[in-house]
Amino acid sequence: MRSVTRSVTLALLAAVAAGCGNYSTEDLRFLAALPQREDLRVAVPASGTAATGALTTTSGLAALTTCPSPGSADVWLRAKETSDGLNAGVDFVIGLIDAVRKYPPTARDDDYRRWGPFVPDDRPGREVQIVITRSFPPELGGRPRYDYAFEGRWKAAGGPFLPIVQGAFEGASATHGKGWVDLRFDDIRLLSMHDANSPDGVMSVQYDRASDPRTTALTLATSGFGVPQFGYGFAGYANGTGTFDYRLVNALSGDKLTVKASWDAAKAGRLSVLYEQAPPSTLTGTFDQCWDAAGCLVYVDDQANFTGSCASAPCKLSTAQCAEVPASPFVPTYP
Amino acid sequence: LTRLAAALVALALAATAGGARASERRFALVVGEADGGAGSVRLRYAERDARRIHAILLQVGGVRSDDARLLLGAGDAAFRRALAELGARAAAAKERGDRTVLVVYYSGHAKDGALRLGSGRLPLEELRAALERAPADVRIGLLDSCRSGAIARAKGVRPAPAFDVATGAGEGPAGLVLIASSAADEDSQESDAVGASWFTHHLASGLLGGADTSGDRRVTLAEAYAYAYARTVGSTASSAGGVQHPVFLYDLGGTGDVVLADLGSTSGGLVFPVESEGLYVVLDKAGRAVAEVAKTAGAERRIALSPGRYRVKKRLADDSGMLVASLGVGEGGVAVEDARMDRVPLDRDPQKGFGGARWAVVAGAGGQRFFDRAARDGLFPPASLVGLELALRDDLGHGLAWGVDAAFGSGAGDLRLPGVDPIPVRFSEVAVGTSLWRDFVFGRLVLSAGGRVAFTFLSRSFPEDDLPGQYFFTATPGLTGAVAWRFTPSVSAVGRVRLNYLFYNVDENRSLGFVDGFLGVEYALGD
Repeated sequence: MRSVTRSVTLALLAAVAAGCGNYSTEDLRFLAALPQREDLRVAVPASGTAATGALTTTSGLAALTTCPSPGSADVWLRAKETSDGLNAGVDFVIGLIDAVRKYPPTARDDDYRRWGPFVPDDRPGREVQIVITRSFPPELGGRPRYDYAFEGRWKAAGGPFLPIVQGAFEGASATHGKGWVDLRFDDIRLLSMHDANSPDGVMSVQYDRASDPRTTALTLATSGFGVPQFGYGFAGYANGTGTFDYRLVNALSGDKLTVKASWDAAKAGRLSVLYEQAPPSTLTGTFDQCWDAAGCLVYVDDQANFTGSCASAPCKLSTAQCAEVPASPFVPTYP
Repeated sequence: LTRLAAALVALALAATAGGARASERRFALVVGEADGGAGSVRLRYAERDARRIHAILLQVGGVRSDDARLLLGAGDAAFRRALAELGARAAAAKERGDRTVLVVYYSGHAKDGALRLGSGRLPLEELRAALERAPADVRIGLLDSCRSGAIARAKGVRPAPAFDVATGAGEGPAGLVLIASSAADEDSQESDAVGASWFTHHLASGLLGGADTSGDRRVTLAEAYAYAYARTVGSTASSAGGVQHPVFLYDLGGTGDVVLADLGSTSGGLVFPVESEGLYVVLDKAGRAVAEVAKTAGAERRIALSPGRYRVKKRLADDSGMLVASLGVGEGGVAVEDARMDRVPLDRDPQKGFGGARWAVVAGAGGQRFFDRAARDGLFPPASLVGLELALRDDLGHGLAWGVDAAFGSGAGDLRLPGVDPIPVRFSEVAVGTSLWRDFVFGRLVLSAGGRVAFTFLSRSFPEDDLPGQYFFTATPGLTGAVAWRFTPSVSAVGRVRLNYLFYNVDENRSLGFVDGFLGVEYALGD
C-alpha cells in the first residue's frame, strides 16, 4: 500500500513538474486550416427578392412593379434565394467541422491531431471523430497541406468510421489558401444525421481565397437545400465586382434556367441565361439582361420573348448602357 | 565661628547640589560632523551620536529647546557662531542672576590638534580657550573624536576611572570640565554593533540612568564619566583598534558636583529591580542600542526613555543564550525582570537584527515577460501583474525569511503565425508561490536573495475568433531578489525581481525562462 501511495505521489509530482494543459499554438495552426463560414459562403450582392409567384408565368418571370418597364431583373434577384440555399449547405458543413473548435484535441502528434471519438450533444447514439494530418508536399514549396476527415459511426454497433466530411487545404490559413471539402450525404443518411433539405450523394465545395478573385465552387450531385443539382460558381473580386453561376428551376412549370451573372462594384450587372422548358417541351433558348444598381432592367435581348418583357418576339429593349462586368472564371458545367 | 558658618553653608549647598537648578539655565551646543575633509573616512555615526546626545540633554539634561543648538555637518564657522551666541545668552542669563551651565558636545574627526569639520578646522586650543572664557558658571566640553585627549594635554589631563569631586565650601560648582573620548594618542572607535561611537554610546547610556550608581535618580558628571570610562575601556579592550581610554580635565571650583541628568524630570522608563544583575542593552524599534545598563545587584536602576516600544536583551553569563523582552514604555516605569524575559539562542540577538519572527504584507504591481521572443509572440505574451505576499521574517533563523505569494495578471495582444491573420489574444496568468530568502540589511536598505517555487497557471482566449480557450499549468522554480528601502520600521518600498523557469511540453518540449518584476509597499506587522 505504501509503495502504491508513493507511486501515486511521484506520478502527481511528475505531472505537476511536467506541466499540463492544452496551451498549443500548433493546435491553432491546425484549426486555421479548417474553413469557416466566411471562407465558403456565397455572398451575391442581390439585395432584392423576387416577387412571390415569380417564375409562374409562361415566361417564368413576373415584373416587379417598383421598376419602370421593362421591369425588375427577377432572374438576378432570384440569385439571392439561390445563394441562401447554398449557404445553408455551407452552414451544414461548417456546423460539423466547427465541433472541433469547441474542444481541445484528444490526441496530438507533430503533424497529427485528433478530436474524439466523442458523442455529439445533438446526435446521441453516434460517435464522431475528426482527424487532421499535416504534410509538406514538395510541390507546395514549403507550404503545408492539411487533410481532414470528419467521421462518424453508430456507437453501439462499433465498426469502422464512415467519412462524413473530407477535405484538404493548402496554405497556412483557410482565409489565405485554397482547399476542397466533400460532404457525403449518403453516409450522413446512414447515420441519420441529415435534415429535411439534405441532398443525396456528395456536395463538393472548392474554394480559393489565396488569389483575386476569391472563388467558391459548389457541386450538388442531387438537388438539396432548396436549390437544384448544379455546379455553382461564385467569384468575388477585391474591387467589389463578381460573378455567380447558378441554376433556377420553376417550381410549377419545371422550366430550368442556367444563369451566368456578373456585376460591377455598384451592383449593376448583366447575365446570360440558357433556359430549358420542362418536358414534354424541348424548347431551349437564351436571353441576356442588364440591370442597374437598383435591380431594374435596363437591357433585354430575348429573341423568343421567353421573359415576356415585350408584347411579342423578338424582344430587344435598351434604356441604358450595360455595366462593364468581369467574365466568369468558371468553365461552364451543366450536370 | 566664621569657618563653622562657612562650612555649614557649604554643607547646605552641597546637600542641594543642583538644588539651585530652579534658577539654573543650561545651554547646549551639540555638533555632529561626519566629514573630516580630504583624506578622512566619513564617519557613519557621528551625526546620530549628536542627535542622540541632543535629545538626551533636552529630555533629562535640563536644557530648554531654545537654549540648545544642534549642528550637523555645519562646518567650523557655524560652530564658532553658535558657541559665541550661546555664550552671550549665558552671559545674559547670568546677569539676571541665574546660575549657568554650558555644555559643548562634539562628535567627529579630529587630527593634528584640531577638530575637522568638513574642510574647516577648529583647533583644540581655540576651543579650550573659548570654553575657558565662556561666561557660564560651568563649562563642560565633551569631545568624541580621535586623539581628542589632546585638548586637555596642557594641564591636568589624566585617564582615570573617575575624578574626585570637591565637596568643600562654595556656592556650587564653577569652572571647566573637559572630557574626551580617547587619549591624545588613541583613536576613538565607532561600532556597528551599537550603531554609535563607543564613548558616546556609553555616555548616553549613563546619562539615561545607567550611571546612576547612587540610585538618587540623578546622574552627576562624575557618575557619567566613571560609567562611560569603564564601559568604553571594557568595550574596546579586545577591539582591533585597541583599547580606548577616555580622559578628563577637571577644573571646578565651588562645591558639589554637576548634575548632568535628572531622571526625576521624566516619568517613563525602564526599571531594573534590586536583584537584577548583568549587562542589559536597550534597543529601539529599529534595533539600535539606545542604552546599556551594567547592573549590579543591590540597588534599583532606572533608565529614562521616551515613550515607545523597546527590546531589552541580556546575555547570560555562561554564554548559553540570552534573555530578550519586548517592552512598551509609556508613563511610569516598566520593570525589567529576568524571569519574564524570553530565553533565546545567541544567534537570535535582536541587536544583530533579529527582532523575532515578524509578519509582513507586501502588495505590488508589475509585469511578466518571457525572455524568448518566439515564446512571447507565439505563446505567452507580456502581462501586467498585481501581487500580494505574506512573509515571515527571522522565523527560520536570523535574516532568513519565507513567504507565500499570489499574483494575477493579464495581457492582450495579437498572436502572429506565418500566413495567418493576426489572432487577437487575451492572456491571463495566476501564480501562487512560496519563497525562502535571506535579507541583507544595510541601514535602511535591505537586499534580499533566495529561491522560490510557484504553481503557475497560464491561459488565453481568443475574443474575436471562434477558437477554444487554452490553458497550461506547471511548477515554476526560480530565483527571487528584492531591494527594499525602509521609510519607517513598518513601511518599506520594495522592488522585487524573480527569474523563473518554465518547462513547456504541449507542442514540444521547451525550457523557457521568464522574469517578473514588482514594485510595491511592504508593511511589517507587529513591533
